[in-house]
Amino acid sequence: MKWLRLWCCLPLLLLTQSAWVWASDPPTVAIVLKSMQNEFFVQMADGAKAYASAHPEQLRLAVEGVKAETDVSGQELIIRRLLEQKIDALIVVPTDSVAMLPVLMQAIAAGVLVINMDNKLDDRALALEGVNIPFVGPSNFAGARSVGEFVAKKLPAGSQVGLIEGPPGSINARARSDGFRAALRSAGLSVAGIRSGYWDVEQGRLAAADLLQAEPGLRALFCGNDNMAIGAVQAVAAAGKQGQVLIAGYDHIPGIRRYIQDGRVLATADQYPNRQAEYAIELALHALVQGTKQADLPGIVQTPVQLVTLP
Amino acid sequence: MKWMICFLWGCLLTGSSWAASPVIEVYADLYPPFIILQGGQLSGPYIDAFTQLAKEQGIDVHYQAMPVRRLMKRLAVQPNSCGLAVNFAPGEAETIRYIGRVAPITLAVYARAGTVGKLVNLEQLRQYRVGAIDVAELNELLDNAAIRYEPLAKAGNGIAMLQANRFDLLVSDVLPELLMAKPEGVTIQRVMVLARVERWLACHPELPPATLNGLRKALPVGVFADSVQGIWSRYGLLPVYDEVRREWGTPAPH
Repeated sequence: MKWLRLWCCLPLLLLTQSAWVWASDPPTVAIVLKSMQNEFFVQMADGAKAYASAHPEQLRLAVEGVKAETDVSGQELIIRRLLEQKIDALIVVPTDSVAMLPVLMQAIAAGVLVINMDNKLDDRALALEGVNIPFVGPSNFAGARSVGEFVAKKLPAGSQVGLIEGPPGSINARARSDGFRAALRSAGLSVAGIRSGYWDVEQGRLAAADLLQAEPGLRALFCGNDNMAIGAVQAVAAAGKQGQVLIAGYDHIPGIRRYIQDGRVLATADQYPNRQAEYAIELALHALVQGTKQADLPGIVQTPVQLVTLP
Repeated sequence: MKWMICFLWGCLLTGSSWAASPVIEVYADLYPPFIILQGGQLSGPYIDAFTQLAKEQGIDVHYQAMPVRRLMKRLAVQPNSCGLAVNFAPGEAETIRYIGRVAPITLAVYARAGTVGKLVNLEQLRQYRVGAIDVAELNELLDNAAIRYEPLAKAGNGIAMLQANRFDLLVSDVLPELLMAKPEGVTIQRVMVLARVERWLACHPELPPATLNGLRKALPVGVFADSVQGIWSRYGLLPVYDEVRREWGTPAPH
């Protein structure tokens, strides 16, 4: 694999990792994820569980997730139930960057430390609420731009391309589309159409099929995650355009690797979900041991993202 | 000697009140008539009002004029820095922090007078040559509707480019009616309002919490607080002030 390094700043807290000793029982840290059908979040959960297993004296871990990527009410229910169980810290990958804020405000009001991971809450909503919820995650914009630049080099200037993005309520979906746009603009390519594939294989297939029909001249499909890229591969094959329409993904889930190997997907971006979980847990434990208030937590802890292509 | 000891004790006892106010570096791109250059210094109602509102929270501000693209890159790496009146972009929000809204803006479609009638939906833009300022919220709107457009790196050049027939329609947040009190060249008219969004104060992600909280407290109604009404009046822009206060549900004091 050819790796283009896009390392962001490693958080200082990882470099100064220490074994925290609690006078009483260790704190309970809850992680609430999005779709557990998405391999990306399975990897994230595995990373969190591996950390907890390696540090049983430091925390008690609860990991939960919903079935569908956009199940806001399902996530709210999980969080409300966790709040009744008296957790100390809540790490959440929100299904929606705005709609999840009220329940997170309830968590903060209940004295729970809240940390946002992977899909950023909308700063505009946070500013209007006057609340600080730190974000642990990569620059989706930078990751998508690196994928976009790699694929755009394979196309002549003036080519028409399509975007298949995540749900409109997700900041990371929009950040990835913006990263793709930045790369496309630099390469002189134009966006002929956009559809939402809601992070899902089947929805991605339907979105890609619709775009291919609406814009027969498309030369590439830039997909906001690997599941939608797999759906796009199916749609391109069904349209008899394999090799004529290039496909890019994002996330580097295990399921995309064979598509990268055989060239049906040209590039993706790895953002190390297991390490995101580790960084977020470390931030929570560090804040709990230091007694850091929610308002005084760091704003952003950046995690790495790397372009992945064939050698 | 006694005097010196008394002075040192005095310094210790009043240390908190002697502590210097936090100072932030604020970058801003020109956005006439709200942010202008006067005698080589940034000025205009946004600048004067923000200076006063920050001061009310005990924060001093140093300004530097900077093109918006450079400004956004600088914010991510320069501690203790902020950008005034920048547009929201989801990608940027992962590396810098949007602290508070500064002012609302109208994204509208403009044409040379008499060349294009009133437009009623976005689809109608498809038949024209379109130039658009480079704002993420606008790019998203146009891309979602599959409207092809020429992105303009310098928003301020848009009206001149439209007048020069470089394209048929300009999508922009500048306000020709404020810029062209004495119209020169081809008259420009608004043919459609697309969306109302906001400009923001965005800062380096590690701004000290006390400074961040002070800035948030400074901007509950952007740069349109009661205490800065006189500034807007001085610039002859009281109607803008009143309109924003009405729009944000906090009518202006009279």
